[in-house]
Order: sequence, then C-alpha cells, then structure tokens
Amino acid sequence: MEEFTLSEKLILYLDGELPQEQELELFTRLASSADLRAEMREGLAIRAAIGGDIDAFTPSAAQTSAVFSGLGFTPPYQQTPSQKTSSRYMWLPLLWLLGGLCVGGGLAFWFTQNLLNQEFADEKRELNKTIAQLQSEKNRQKPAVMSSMAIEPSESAITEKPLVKTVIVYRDRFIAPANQNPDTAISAKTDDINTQSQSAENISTAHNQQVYNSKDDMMITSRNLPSSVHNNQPMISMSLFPKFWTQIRGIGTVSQYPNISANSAITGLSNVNVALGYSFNPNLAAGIEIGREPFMLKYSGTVNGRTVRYEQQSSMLLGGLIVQARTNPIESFMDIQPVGTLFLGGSEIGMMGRVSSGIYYPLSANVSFYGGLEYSLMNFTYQSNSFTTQKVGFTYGLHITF
Amino acid sequence: MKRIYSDMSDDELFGLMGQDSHKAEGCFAELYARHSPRVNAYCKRIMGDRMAAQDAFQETFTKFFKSASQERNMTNTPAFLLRIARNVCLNMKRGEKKTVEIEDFHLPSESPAYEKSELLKLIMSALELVPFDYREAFVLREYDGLSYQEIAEVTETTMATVKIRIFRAKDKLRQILAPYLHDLNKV
Repeated sequence: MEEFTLSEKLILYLDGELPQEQELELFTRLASSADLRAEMREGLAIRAAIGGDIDAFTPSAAQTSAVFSGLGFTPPYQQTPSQKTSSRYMWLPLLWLLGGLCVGGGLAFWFTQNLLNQEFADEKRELNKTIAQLQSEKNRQKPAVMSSMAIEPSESAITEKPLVKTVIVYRDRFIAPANQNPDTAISAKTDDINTQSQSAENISTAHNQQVYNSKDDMMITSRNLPSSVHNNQPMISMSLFPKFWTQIRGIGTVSQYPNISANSAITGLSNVNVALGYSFNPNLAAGIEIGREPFMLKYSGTVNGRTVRYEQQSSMLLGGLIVQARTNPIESFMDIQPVGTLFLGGSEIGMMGRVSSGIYYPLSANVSFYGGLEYSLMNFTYQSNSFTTQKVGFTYGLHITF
Repeated sequence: MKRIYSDMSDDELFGLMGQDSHKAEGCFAELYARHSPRVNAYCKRIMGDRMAAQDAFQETFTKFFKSASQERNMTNTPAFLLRIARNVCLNMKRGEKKTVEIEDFHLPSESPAYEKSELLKLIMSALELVPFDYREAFVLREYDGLSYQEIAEVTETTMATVKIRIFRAKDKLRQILAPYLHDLNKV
C-alpha cells in the first residue's frame, strides 16, 4: 500500500482520489491542524482561480472559424445561446420576436387610430367649416363672379387678379413660390378646396409644379383658409401626403468585435430588414420592422462546473416598432431629407433597441435612396445571466411611398 | 423519431461522423462544442505561446476529424482528443525555435479582453516555471478535469507516476505562490 504524507492525502482528497477508508484520518488531522487547513484553503483557492480562467476555456471565434473552414465546413455561427442551452427551449427565443412584433404592431395601430385622428381633427373641422362658408358665399355672389374657364392661364392672366397669390403645392409639403411674397393674399378656389378634401388627384400631384386655380369662378383670401395654410403647414397632407411607405434595407455592420473570418459567414438574406410604416405628417412616421441580421455575441456560462466563455456571430430574426422623425427636404441640397429612427423590439434571443440617422435622397416621386449610420444594443440571457452586445454600422436601402 | 445530435453520446457521434459523410459536419460541430474548451485549455496552458496554442488547437481537431474514418471504436472521446492534442503539442515543442521573435515583444501572451484575477495571473506565470511533465499532469487534472487514471492513459504512464507529478506540480506552485497564498490565509 502506498504511503502518502498528509499534504499528499489532502491533494488526493481534493482530487477525489483518496480511498474512503483514509478519509476519516484526514478529517481528524484537519480538525487539529491549522497548517493543514490553510493548505486546503490554498488548494481550493487555486482551483477556484483556475475555474475562472475563461480565456483558457474559450476558443475564439477566429479559432473556431479556422477549424471549420479548414475542414470545409461552415462555422456553427447560426446557433444562438439559447439553442446551445437546450433544444427543448428552442421555442422560447421566438417569443421575443413575436412579442416585439405584437407590441410594435399594436403601438403602430394605436398611433394610427388615435394620434392621427386627434392631430387632424381640428384641421378637418376648420376645413369643413371653411368649405361650407365658401359654398354659401359662392351661392350668394355667383352672378357677380366672372366665369373664366381657362385651363392654364398665362402669367399675365394671374397678375390681372389683384388679390391673387399663387400657391405652389409640392408633394409632401406646401410652400409659396419663390417670387411671391408669402404674406400676400392667397388665391384658391372653392372647387379646389372641395376637391382637395376628396381626392388628391385634382390638386397637385406632381413635383415642383404650380397649381393654377384658373377654372374656378371665385377667389378667396387667406382669411378663408385654415390656419394650417397660414402657418405653412401641409393642409393638403390629409389627402395628398403619401401615408404608407415601405423600406427595404441592408446593413453593413462594423461589429464591436471585429472578426473578418466570422463576418464572412454572414451573407445574403442574413442581413436584410423590411419596414412598413405610416406617416402622420411630413415629419413623423411610425411602423414595424422585421428582418434578420447578425450580432457578435460574447457570453460566458458554466459547463461541467467550469466557466466557459463563448464567442459567436449569429444571424437572427428580429422585429419591433420604429418611430421616425424627418426634417423637411433641403431644397438647396438635392432635396435630401435628413431622418432619424428609433427601433424598439426584440430578436430571437432578447430585447433590442437601435438608433439611426441618415438621409433620404429622392430618386423619383415615390422612391428614395436611404443611407445612414446606426447603433444597436441587444440584451440576451444565457444560463440565467444577462449579457449585452452592441454594434455600429452603416445602413442603406430604398424607401418607397404609396 | 429523429434524434438530434445533442442527444447522442460522444461515441455515437464519433461513429456517425466516420460513417455518414452527410452527417459528419453536424456530428463534428456537436463534438467540437462539447470538447473544444478543454482542448483549448490544454493547448494554451501547455504551449504558453498564444499563436502556437492556436495552431495546436486547429491541428488537433483536424486530426480528430480525419481519425473518425479510421478508428472503429471510441470509448473515451475527451481522452482521445487530449492524446491527439498532446502529440501535436509535443511535436511542436520539439520543433520549437529557441529564439524570441520581434512580435513577441509587442503581442501580449493573452487576450487583453479578459480580466483575470491576480491569483490566476500568478498561477499562469508560475505554471511556466514548472517542468513540462508536472505541468502537463496539473493541467490535465485541474483544467481538463481528468481522473488520475485518465491522465495516466493520456500521458501513457502509470497511476503512481501521475500522482507523483501532480504532487510535485502542486508543491512547486505552492512554493512559487507562497507569498501571495500567505496573504490569502491572513484574510
């Protein structure tokens, strides 16, 4: 039988290799020897420190990528932390996505139903009132009104009207022509206003085209128009403003943890988002966004009692609510429109938020190019511990109104 | 009912990896997920040098995958993997140049992204002062969690030798770390 010193027996005991019949003797000596107890504490401290050596237990994403690529395999980046935890709980992460979509969709619906109606309720009432006044005035004054029906009057035809101020109606906005004083009286016609409230087609739908109200048989002054006109607000937005829009965009990610070999696995539809939104006015919009994009994940967990840190680049589904604020187009700079967007929602593995800012560059009346920068932050859980990941990147896509 | 890889044992996965080329990738990914941490720990703490450890790690898994088509029976996958890693590391150590390259002055031996406790840093430094055989036994026990019997199999030696090596490694570490451990006991 092998003979060991007390220190060696202690090592054997801590390693689970001491025969049971020798344990009692060790325990007795431990109870009486302070030095032996100190030795045990030291041994346990060393073991605990090694258990926390997560660097040693963590193959980096680059190492994993090198191993798999070397064998002609795709690196296993598609796994998410929750999927690693247990296949039985694979459905759980999807709840984040569905929850994000439901909350986003619900909020968007609520905005559409409530906020929008409230915002324009006063203007609608005022406009209806004005229309009613104009109609009654028209009926009273009809015999005295000239009955010019020219479709496109010349410049001189307009200037003949002493109170005329030509109104230029741009799609998405409402401004006065550059060569006229905005404080002068505004000319609009009863029929126009009626039509405005009914159909966008009969006002101005074209970019940068003046609207001449020549076929109308009556003039009104700015006093008759809703306050929105005085304030240069988009009176026509109620009927003309393109309310619904969709945006398709890709993301060029500059990850917080740059790793070229890991990023190379993320391609194609793994990095695309689609948004569907509703514009309340030219400056505010909201909607939902769904997509799939990668995040660099670094997190630690316990495997067989040891702390292990994982690194992976996973592409995951996400969805949520977006709120978008835009300025008016900058006419002096190619009509670009600065825009800021806030995204709140969830991905397959946790809650996430994003802020982005960029520009819309109009390609046609309904289509704009979108480009900008974004910062995303996502929180996720692995083995009941919370982790965050973040990334910055540039984003680009198309914005289509309809 | 279709079984998923995570429900299979190491031996089943290893067998399937060698037999079915369509399932080889999935089996390999699962085995990699299970055992890469301990192989990585072994390579890092035995080789010391980060780049050499990464090369050893990659070569170990490449050899492991290729061996699946040759090996018939597998009873202890972790031990088998560590045996491969050991051979790879020993070969690399034998061919190691005894010169210090310029990059070594600039590259930290460990990733700075991880924060380590003071004791852990001391252990890692102390380990490099421990003779290779002792260090290997210590790493296989403390990092890879192998039993003495498994360590004997991996290192192709006897249980008695393993015990001696572990005792000496721990004794050596305690000597080096004595000032720090003394303070630890006071606390």
